[in-house]
Amino acid sequence: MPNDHLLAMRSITKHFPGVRALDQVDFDLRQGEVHVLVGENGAGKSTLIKILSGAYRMDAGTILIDDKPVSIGKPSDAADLGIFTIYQEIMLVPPLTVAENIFLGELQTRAGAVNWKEVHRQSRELLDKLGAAQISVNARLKDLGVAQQQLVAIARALRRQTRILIMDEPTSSLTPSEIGQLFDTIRSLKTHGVAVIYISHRLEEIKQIGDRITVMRDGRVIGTVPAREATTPTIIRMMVGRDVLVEPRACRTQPGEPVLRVEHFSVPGQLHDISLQVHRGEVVGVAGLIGAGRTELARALYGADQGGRGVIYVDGRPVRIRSPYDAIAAGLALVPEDRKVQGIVGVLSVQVNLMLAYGNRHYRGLIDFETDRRITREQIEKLSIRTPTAAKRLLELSGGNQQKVVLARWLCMTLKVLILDEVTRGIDVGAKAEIYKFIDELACAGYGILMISSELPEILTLSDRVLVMHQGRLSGEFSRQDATQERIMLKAIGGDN
Amino acid sequence: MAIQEAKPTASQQSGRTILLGRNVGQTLLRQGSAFLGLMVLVAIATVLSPSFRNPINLLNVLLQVSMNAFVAMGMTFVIISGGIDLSVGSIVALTAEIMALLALAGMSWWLAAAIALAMGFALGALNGLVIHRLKVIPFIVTLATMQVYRGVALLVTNGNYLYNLPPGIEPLGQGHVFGVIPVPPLIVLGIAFVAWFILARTKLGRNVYAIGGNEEAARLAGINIGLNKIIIYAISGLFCAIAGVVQTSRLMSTYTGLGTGWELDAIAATVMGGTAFSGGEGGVIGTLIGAVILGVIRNILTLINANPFIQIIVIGLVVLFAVVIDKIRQRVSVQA
Repeated sequence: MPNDHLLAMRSITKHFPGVRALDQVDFDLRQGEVHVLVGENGAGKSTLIKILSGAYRMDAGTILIDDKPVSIGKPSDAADLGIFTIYQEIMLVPPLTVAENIFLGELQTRAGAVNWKEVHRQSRELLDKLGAAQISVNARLKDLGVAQQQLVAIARALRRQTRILIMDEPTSSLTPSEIGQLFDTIRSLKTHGVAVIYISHRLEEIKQIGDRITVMRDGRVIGTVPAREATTPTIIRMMVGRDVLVEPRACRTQPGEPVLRVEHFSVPGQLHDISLQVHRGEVVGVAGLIGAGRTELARALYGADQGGRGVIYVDGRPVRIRSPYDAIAAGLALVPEDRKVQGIVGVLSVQVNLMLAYGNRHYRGLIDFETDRRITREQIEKLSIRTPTAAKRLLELSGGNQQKVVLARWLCMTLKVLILDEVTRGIDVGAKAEIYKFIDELACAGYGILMISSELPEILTLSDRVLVMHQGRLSGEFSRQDATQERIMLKAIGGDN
Repeated sequence: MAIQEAKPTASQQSGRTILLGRNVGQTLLRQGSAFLGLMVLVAIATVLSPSFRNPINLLNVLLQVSMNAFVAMGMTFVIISGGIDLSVGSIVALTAEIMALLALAGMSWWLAAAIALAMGFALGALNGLVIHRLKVIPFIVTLATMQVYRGVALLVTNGNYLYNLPPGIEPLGQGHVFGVIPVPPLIVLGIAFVAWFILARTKLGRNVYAIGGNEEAARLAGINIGLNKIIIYAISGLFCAIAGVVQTSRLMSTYTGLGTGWELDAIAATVMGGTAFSGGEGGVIGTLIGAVILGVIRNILTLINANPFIQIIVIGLVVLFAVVIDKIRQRVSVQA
């Protein structure tokens, strides 16, 4: 191997409680190249770059820069080594001006006074170098578009003598022409000798901009290929080709009547003309990449977000859903994506959390503590929720048990459709298997289940039918027999066939 | 607050009592420390001034804390729900004046009082409506309505004192039961029972805790956030009106400056009583203890002839101390 590595990461290992996020990962970067990092959600890409940028500490491994071992213990260490990260969410200060952001925290002062003339001159120079002559250094950042904000972030990186630029999903909120502009910028950075680590799962664009592609899966590097030799099917196979660890569903009945029917459902700017059906006793998986509109669909159907247009039928009857209360009355339930922020009321007890929806719907004025206790006891037993008492504050339980309480909140009611949004995210393997078992049982009991998941094995194991979303539209539909990880992935990135 | 009767069940629900979010041990920890603080304070007071434990003085303390207790109990609903109500003092003044004006105009006292209560409820509901509809934080909304309501109070009386009120309602504020126990503290107890009942035993109360604990989770569970917020702030407004009515009948006069700064005492009593500013935790029993603590401190300082300006400093420091203790306690209970 030619010894032209600017950066070499060797045998990087990182554990989180219960998970091996990185397992003996090797990664290198040459001067002036764009090295693309791909992999499914949770493959370890983010962990790797967070170690490189000083946000996490690795458990084992070495990092070499210019063949010399370096120690990166905190973000400022990375900055001193010329490593700079541009995150999906741009980490700048919106109310400040462009120039102030470029020099954020590092304004040069003389006798306490900022030399604004010099700051503006240097900012102008940096932006011009990026071909961003149209951005005024006096403009407020919040008045700029996302693409322009990104250019400001890059200008800031350049000012700090950046040698390694890490870009995490930089195109996720850009329009095609803005992406072109960004790629021009990246190419000009390469000519200045800057090496770029580029994280993306938009396969169509990484071949345009990348020199090499490294695929990660389950915390390991699967392989590195030159971008010009890589084909989309190869990359997809490398990304998803793992064993399915999940038990197959025990109970698969013939799906009955449609229990949920959605016709021409749209949310301006987010969802476009979505029509779907979920039958009684059927699990319908919804696959897609982050940002494909799956969560938006779940929330809009459930009335959690406003602006949904289209017709929703439950049990063949059209229903009008303008709030979660309407949705529950119609027989819908949602287990939201972010358990902590949207699911649980952590400071309140298991019992109160469990009875929140039931009580709101069925209690008139007074709480019926007898019913409260009975249902809580039943559900704790049924879902094997591990808690010392029903009075325990929910935040003191493990993630898996918290999620079971959120599920139990709906199971104690008579509903028809369950919308699950990443129901096993951040949950340990044991609890995951238990939750899969409930999904199975619920389907047998006649629920229609719409299950959003970013884990393809989960989708493939549990679903009777798989819907794929891409950019706010349904881009594919597969029966259980026809669904494969490769086919789903291809539809998820917007490919045909 | 909120102690639900324990019935040992067949399953291992454990024999402990279930209440909103905690078992008895944790509750004692939370509100017990306020109670403990009060006991220590009473001990100190007894040492500092022998006249403190004179029953007449003690009853007088209870009478003096009554107005704050009303307002603070309403504030407790609001703070548990994750909000704040700065307009309380202005609602006290406005409702008191409306009642006095109506009485001066010849209306029966009891009808005038009923109108004042309804008005307090409506003014609070307006706070809740604006907070929910305009999605502006409660601090700003109630800061604005604090000015608006005070302005209206000035406008309706032209800033004048209202006195020479027709007799009839003074037993409410000046009366004694058995010739010794002043009426206002008894009304406080009655209202406290109602407030406790709502928070501990009703769906509304559960919603108050859920909204304060995690508004988005509560909303996704189907709870109507807007309606509940309107009711929560309306309860605060209603309790302010009760304070306004009782205070007017006690003084048999009223003025536009009534209630100025009361929001601070109400917040102090609530926080000292163990209601978390972050929402979702607390109760009115603690708030009552908090109000009495404030009253006892003022009483001691008066009895030992402390400089009245020092009183203000001491009260401020005690509130700060209570909040720090609460922070430490939270950290301990999270680690446990």
